[in-house]
Amino acid sequence: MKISRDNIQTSGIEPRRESATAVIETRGLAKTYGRVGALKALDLSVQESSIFGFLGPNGAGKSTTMKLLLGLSRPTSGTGSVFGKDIATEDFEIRRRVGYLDQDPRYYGHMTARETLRFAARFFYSGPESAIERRVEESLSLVGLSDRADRRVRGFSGGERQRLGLAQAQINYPELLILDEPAASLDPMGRRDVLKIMERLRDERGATIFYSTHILDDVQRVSDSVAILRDGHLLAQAPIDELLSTGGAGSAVYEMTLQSNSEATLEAARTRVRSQNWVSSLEESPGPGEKRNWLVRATDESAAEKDILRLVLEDRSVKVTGFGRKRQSLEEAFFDLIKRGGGGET
Amino acid sequence: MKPRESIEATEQTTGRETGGKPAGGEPQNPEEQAALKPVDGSVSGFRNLIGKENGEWVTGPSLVVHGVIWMLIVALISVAVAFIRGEMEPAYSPDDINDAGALMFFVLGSVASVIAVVARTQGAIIGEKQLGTAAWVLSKPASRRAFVLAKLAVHFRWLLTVTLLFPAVVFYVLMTAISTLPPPPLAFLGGFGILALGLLFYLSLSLLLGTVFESRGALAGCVFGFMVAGFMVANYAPWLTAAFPWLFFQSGYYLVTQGYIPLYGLISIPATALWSALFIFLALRRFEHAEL
Repeated sequence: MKISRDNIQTSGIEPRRESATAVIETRGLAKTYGRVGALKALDLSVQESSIFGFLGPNGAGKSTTMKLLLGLSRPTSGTGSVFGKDIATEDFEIRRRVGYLDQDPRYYGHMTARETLRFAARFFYSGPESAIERRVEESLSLVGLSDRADRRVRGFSGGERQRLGLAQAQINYPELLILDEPAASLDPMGRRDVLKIMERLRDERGATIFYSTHILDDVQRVSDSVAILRDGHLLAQAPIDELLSTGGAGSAVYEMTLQSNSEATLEAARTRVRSQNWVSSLEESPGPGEKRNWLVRATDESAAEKDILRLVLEDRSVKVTGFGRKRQSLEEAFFDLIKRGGGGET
Repeated sequence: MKPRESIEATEQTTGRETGGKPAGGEPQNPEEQAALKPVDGSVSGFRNLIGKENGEWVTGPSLVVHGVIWMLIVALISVAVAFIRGEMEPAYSPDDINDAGALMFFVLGSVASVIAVVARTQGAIIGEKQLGTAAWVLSKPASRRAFVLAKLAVHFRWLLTVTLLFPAVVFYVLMTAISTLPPPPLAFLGGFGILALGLLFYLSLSLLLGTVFESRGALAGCVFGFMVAGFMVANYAPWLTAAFPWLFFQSGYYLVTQGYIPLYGLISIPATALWSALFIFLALRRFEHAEL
């Protein structure tokens, strides 16, 4: 897999050039509240029919970004577009094609779930009651609320409100769903259902899903691309596979398990590897038995994959019992980026 | 891209809540989808929001509670006072009894409408902003103008009904029964109209302040403060009373009992209408730019 600065965008690095259709595009989008900068010059690109995870600690600016995209809040500077329409001047047109779920969804307590969905549907459509009712039924069924359809919303638990939120967000068959922590109040089974629904909306209706969450496992499971935000700054944006395989900094990490009877031979191998200008670090730790584990971080993927084994095996007394590119978890990538972002960017 | 096993794992759960049917239910057929027309217009969502606001009034005890309270205070107390005055003063003519009742009705009616406006609308906009329902509604293709105008229309309708219309009808019938002489109907209708304009003024002020403040207390304080200030201003700068609805109760009373409206009243009626229109305009303008 090619890892380069062209397909990993991090702070301080030029944004990549997208060839596919971008549903959401922002350029230097910023928002300040008084003297507090909630969002600082955000450059974001979300591709059509993708599930895009938007990550970051609390207060990173995720909800602010979503509200800016919907026209619920006005940008202080910068520009943004959804479906090519300007978020500052064409927000009404954008909202016709978007479904939105708030972080803490609240609805009118005097309405039942069915009435809430009917109410939401009528903002989008006029027409025969039967057609609207059919859409409502379908949405209730989608989120598993059919048996609670006629209960007043004020008695709903957080999880039920979240399900209702997902139902109302997709009632207009939106081309883009903006979901602010859609699984936050759900139990593990509910979370899995929500992820499944998101996948179905993408796969069957071709919807683009732009969602924020703190649950990194969920992101890793369903997302096509990820952006990580901290203190209003974008730390990284990349397809998830690339982010997981590189840590997002334009470098590749290789794991190697090797064995040798001679410490001097191993030291010679270490020296040969470290002397390459594409090797940025080599860490060694004890492995099983007499084996050693190496972690080699390389800045040039093709050079590494071509030469690294050759360099180690130059001395025939060294045996390599395992070799592969390290694939880190999203959690590791996330904390690595947050740590580096905290040190250098903020 | 995504590990295959995770998709398979989630597929197993999809029938759990839906009685074995796949999540998503039956997709809507193309004819039904085609029958649904997109809603459009500069007040898009107005009708829908009117339905929601009406629903808030008629579901729950609010309508009954307001109806009983204002009927008691505005109609029955006014009639009771007129009845007692008539009993205490045998020399009182039917006109005198009607006068006594009308004064009470217009004073209590004008105060009641302000209290009802504050009680019912202090959270109309602030509450929705704080709770997040405003952001939810306006994340749909609903115009912000429709959001405010629906509140204005529905609150005016129900507040007028419960604080003035029903009490006025009951008052008129009972006064006719007590005094044996019906108050002049057209003049009474005119007096009712003056009180209705006062209610519109305070309602539009309350909605405007709802777009300005983030606290219900500040809104309530300003609206009540404005009403109370009127009584003080009437003593120190009486000419100012011609610009606002502070002495609407006198205008209504004079119209019913004397058949005319004093000069300050004649000026204050169009002035109040203009203020109301200005407040509504400013409320719409401010809410158009509100951060939600």
